[in-house]
Amino acid sequence: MTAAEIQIAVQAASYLFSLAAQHADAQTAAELREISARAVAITDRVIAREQARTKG
Amino acid sequence: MTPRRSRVVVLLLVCALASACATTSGLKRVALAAEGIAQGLETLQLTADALEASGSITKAQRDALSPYIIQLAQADKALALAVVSNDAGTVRGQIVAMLGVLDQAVATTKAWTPETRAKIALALEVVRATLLVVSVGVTS
Repeated sequence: MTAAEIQIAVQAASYLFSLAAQHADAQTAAELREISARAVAITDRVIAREQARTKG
Repeated sequence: MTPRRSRVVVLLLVCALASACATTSGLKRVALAAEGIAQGLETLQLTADALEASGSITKAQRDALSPYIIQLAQADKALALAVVSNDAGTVRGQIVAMLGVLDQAVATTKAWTPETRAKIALALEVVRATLLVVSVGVTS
């Protein structure tokens, strides 16, 4: 394998890495937001129930 | 492209994917833990309510748990939001704070009967176990 060919392979891998990382980041960010929203909904429910109990 | 060159590219791509996955899986683990803790807190709350309704604990004993349940839920909410904003400092801080509040909650059940304590202890320990599992690698 010549130096030029290695350079092309590295550039291709670098481009693919960038694409993969962007895709993984976007997918993970969406997943994290979804999981976090579910957790927040439960904690809000727990807090509201507890506060209602204290007031009641 | 020769098979050898293809292998080099595939190898580099696999390394790239592994690297991308390694940086994101930790956050997802913490987010799932935050959801698990929230479910554990709801179980704790419902267990305490059931114990009060059955007469196993008094209203005063149930009321004594209330501030801790609220504190734990607020901390878990902050934890879940910190994961989304990738705020590692807040994640670490909330985990440590929650373990402290959990100890205080356990302390309030000391005067309960052993049978009643055993029932609430299960719910408390589920939350503690989830916190301890997620704290490995996060709080260091």
